[in-house]
Amino acid sequence: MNYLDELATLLRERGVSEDRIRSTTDDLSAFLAEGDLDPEEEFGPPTEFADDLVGEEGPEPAPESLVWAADSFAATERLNELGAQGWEVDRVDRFGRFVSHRGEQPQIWEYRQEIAPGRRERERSLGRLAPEGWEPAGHYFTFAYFKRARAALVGPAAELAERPEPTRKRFFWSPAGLLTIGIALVVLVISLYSLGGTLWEGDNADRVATMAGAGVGALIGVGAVLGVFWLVARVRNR
Amino acid sequence: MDRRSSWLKGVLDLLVLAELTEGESYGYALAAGLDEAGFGRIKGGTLYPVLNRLEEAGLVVAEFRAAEKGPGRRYYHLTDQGREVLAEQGAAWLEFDTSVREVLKKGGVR
Repeated sequence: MNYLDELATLLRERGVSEDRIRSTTDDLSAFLAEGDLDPEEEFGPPTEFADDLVGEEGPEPAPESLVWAADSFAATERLNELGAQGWEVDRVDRFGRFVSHRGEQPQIWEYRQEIAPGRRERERSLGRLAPEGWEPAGHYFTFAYFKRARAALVGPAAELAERPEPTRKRFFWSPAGLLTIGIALVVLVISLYSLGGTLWEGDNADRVATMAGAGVGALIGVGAVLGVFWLVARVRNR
Repeated sequence: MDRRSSWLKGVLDLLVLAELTEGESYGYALAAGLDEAGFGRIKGGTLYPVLNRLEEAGLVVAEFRAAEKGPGRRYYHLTDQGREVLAEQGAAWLEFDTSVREVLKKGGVR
C-alpha cells in the first residue's frame, strides 16, 4: 500500500468524510509531485500525520496525584519523605489531608510544619520563611505548611532521575500521635461519664448549672490550648 | 526539537495568514514562499496540520479545484475573521518581539 492510500485508510478510521479524504490525498499528491518529494520524509509517519491532520494531539498526560494524611507529630518527616520522591503538596483539604501531585519531570520538595493559628500568624510565618525560598502549601487548624523546591538551593541537581512508586499507605500515625489521641479519648469518655452522672442524678436547676459549667469548662480548655499555640507562634515569628 | 522549530511552531499560523493577504494560494506555494522569506523548507507534515486548524477555526476557506492534468489542489483564501485574527495576534507577536529584543540588547546581543 503506498503512503497516500495508507493515509486515506487512517483518515477514514478517524471519521473523515470520503470527499475530504479524496481532496486531501489529491492535494498532498500534487504537493509531492511539485517538489518531487518523498512522502514519508515530507509528512512523517502516516499514523502521526493522520492524527495531526484531524487535530488529535492526544491529551496532555495527567500528573500523578496523591491524597494522604499524617498526624502532626509525623507530618514533617512524611512530607519530606514524599517530597524527596517528587511529590508537591498543592493544598491541605478540609479533612487535613495533603493534596499533592507529581509532574512529568519531578523534582525534590522540602517541607516545614509551623504552629500558626489564624491568618495573621500564617502571614507572619510566611514573612519569616519567604526569604529562604519557602512558600505556603496549605494550613489546617493550628498548623501551617510550607514547601520549598530543592532547586531553589541546588539548581538542576534537584531533578529526580527516577519516580519511585508511592506506598499504598495513605494515613501515617506516629506513636506520639496515637498516644495523644488515646489520652484525649480517655479524658473525653471520663468527662462525658461524669457529666452524664451529674445530669442523671440532679434536679432541673442542677442540670442547667451543670450544662453551663461544662460549656464554660470546654471553652476554657480549647482556649487554653489555642492560647499556648498562639504564644508559641508569636515567640517564633517575632 | 531544535530552537528554530520551536520558535516557528508559535508563529507559523500567523505567517500562513500573512502570506494569504496577497491572495489565495496552495500548500506547496505557501511552503515555497516561507522558504524564500528565510524560514527554510517547511515540511508538508508541519504545514498541512496548521492549514487544517486554520480552516476549522474559520480563519481560511479552502476550495478544491480539479486539475486538467494530474491531481487537483486545495486553494486557501483568507476570511474576514482570519484578517482580524492576523491583525490582533500579529500585533501581540510584535509586542513580544520588542520585549525579546530589549532584553537581549540589555544582555549585550547586537
